[in-house]
Amino acid sequence: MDFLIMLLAAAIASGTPLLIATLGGILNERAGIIQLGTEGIMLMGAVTSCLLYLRTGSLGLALLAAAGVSAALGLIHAFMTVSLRANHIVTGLAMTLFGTGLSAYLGKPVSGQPMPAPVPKVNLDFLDGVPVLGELFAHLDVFTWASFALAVLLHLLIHRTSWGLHLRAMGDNPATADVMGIRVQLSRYLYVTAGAILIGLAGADLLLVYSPVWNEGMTAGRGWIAVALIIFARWNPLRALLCAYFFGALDSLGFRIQLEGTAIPSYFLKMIPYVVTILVLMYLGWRNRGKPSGSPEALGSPYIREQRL
Amino acid sequence: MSKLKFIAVGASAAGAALAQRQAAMQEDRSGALTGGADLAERRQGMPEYTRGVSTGGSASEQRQQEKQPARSAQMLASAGGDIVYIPAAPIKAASAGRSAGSAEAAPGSSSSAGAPGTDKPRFPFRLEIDPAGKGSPWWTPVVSIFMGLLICAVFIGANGMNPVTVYAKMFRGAFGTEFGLAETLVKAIPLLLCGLGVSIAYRISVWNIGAEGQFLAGAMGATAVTIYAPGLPLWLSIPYMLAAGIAAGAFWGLLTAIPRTYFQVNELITSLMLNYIALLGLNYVVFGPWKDPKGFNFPGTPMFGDNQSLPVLGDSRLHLGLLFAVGAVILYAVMIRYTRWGYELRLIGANPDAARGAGINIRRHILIVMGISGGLAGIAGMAEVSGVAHRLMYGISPGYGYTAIIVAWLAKLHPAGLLVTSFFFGGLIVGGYSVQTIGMPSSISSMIQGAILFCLIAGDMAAKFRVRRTA
Repeated sequence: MDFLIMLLAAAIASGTPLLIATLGGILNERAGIIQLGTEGIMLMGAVTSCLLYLRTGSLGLALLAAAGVSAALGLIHAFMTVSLRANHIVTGLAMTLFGTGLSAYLGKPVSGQPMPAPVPKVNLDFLDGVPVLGELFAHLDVFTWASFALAVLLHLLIHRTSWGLHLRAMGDNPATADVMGIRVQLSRYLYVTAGAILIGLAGADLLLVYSPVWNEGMTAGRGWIAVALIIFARWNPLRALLCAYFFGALDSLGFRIQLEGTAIPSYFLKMIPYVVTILVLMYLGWRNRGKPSGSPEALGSPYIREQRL
Repeated sequence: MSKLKFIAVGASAAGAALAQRQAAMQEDRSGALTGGADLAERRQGMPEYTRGVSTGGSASEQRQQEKQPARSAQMLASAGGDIVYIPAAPIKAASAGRSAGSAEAAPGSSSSAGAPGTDKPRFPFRLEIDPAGKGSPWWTPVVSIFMGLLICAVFIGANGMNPVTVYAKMFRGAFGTEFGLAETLVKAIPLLLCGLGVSIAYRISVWNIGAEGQFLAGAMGATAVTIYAPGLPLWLSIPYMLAAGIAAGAFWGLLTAIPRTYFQVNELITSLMLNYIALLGLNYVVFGPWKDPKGFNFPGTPMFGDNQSLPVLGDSRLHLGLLFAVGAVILYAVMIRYTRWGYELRLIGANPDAARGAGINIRRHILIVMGISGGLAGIAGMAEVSGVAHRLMYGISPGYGYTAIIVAWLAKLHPAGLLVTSFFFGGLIVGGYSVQTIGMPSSISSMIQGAILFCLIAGDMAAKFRVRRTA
């Protein structure tokens, strides 16, 4: 029982950055733009917040800077994919390579330095006595609560408002959305930028909350897992909540098993999230064979108003 | 904005164009609506394969469109910042009288909404895609390398270093001395092999980014031969190691291809996850069972014997792997041009729908190509352990598999281009090491690589645009 609760708590802790990044990715992809730069943007968000937090000691400034830098990266991605109509996949790869290199370069001087102060926690003291809820929710940090709220909010916005209907229309069929009077190009810019900001903040969350020391390439593939999570979640924010915690649990499972004492080398335990990602994707592909995957119809295709279809 | 060409349109032509567009706008409204429905239908009816690679297809679609300027479509400029194609047929219809929702109206070719028909365009110039453009010119990679270096110079300058000094030092370190040149070539070998591997996959829009994992798998496969069959003579042991490296790399590549072909799993995610798995596997063997017992806890296998090392040139570190790499490039260049397999590959790359219609088994091709792609990366891994490091060790690859992606893209997937770009990027890695002495992190080279790739993609697309005078 203790083991299970510990695992759940760890799942929430390590699932939060995944969740925020996945939500950002969903915003991008609902608008029809594939975002594969997640890993690079997360790293840039992490390194910017680290530099600013160490230099100024202000959490607000650190987050603002992370949001600013990732917004800039998002704008670059939008410019390449929307205006220049470049291949989304290659652009995303370039973003990841560039972000990885630049973050390693910028973060070299602060590598290994601990953060000055932990992120403030929301203490719900009245929950302390309650058995399961108390252990899970009594002392979560601000980011985790914000990510819960964000998932619910995005779900409501995307599925219950006309604003969300426009967003979905844009991703499914930009030509029709255009005729309906939606400014497709402009909105795509906005959504890609907004999504990139979320992804960058996911990186900041990873650094400030989960492992408060900057290391080169500290995301260790989490950005790519977030890309896979978008597919698991079938582009739905509430499902993303569940899927992110499932993967958070896998991520910490290896560590927990190790603490219990086992003969399995830790390298194999660390492989668990990667192997499970592939297996789950294969299972989903097999189950949904011949059926639509739930992805936006026009995902990855540039919209050119005058193009013959 | 690498290529600016001014195309003057006569004032009278522009005036006529505006009137025509107004007329065409009415019909296009309805045309676009039906076009939208068409699109949805088409997408749903699309076969599995094209759904997976629809992003790759978009570029070719665009190219296709550009190659058909003669489809009686007249290119016009509008004020809204968009390109307007107006088919000739509806214009005639419009001038003859009002034709309601004519069938000739190109579906989806709605003209820019809200563009004022009567007043002058806001800018006298505008950007548009040149219908006669033949892709980007050969010099865009050169310009993008320059631009990438320029962007990184800003970051280097912001960090308080003189970018000119840094670049000069990098250049001297990589190409200035005989030792540096040999090192550059040594680094170019894995880049060339991995780059060739990924470019074969990219040719048919299989986005293999797992060259890193396939490289490590090949290195481990080759090392397994030295661990479990240490006493073989040179002429037996090298071929065995090579075969084991190819087999391991190809196996790792197939682990990406099988989920792709039979389970519709996006190969980007699979191949990347497999990179992390291979890296953890490498760390397991070098820290665990294969660790050199006499190595003072160094995370690596025992040093290879002379019978397990590739022959080197003179007393440099340049090894026989260079011949493997160049041989593979030549073989590929011949195969793609003169064999049926190469023809089918080119056809799939150009138009997967047509290839499917012609009866080409795309699944089989994906499996074969990923096997080859992985096998080539496996050769690179084998050559690296047997020719350079002479042991399998922690951190054997400084990200060759990722750099190879840029190498392939910069070469535009062309075999001859690969020879040039892999040499250049080998130099970039060596240069990155050489500036460590003046206090720069060697990660500077991966930053430059990313920036160059960015500029290349942007430049490739921007080269298709032309500045056109509208007034």
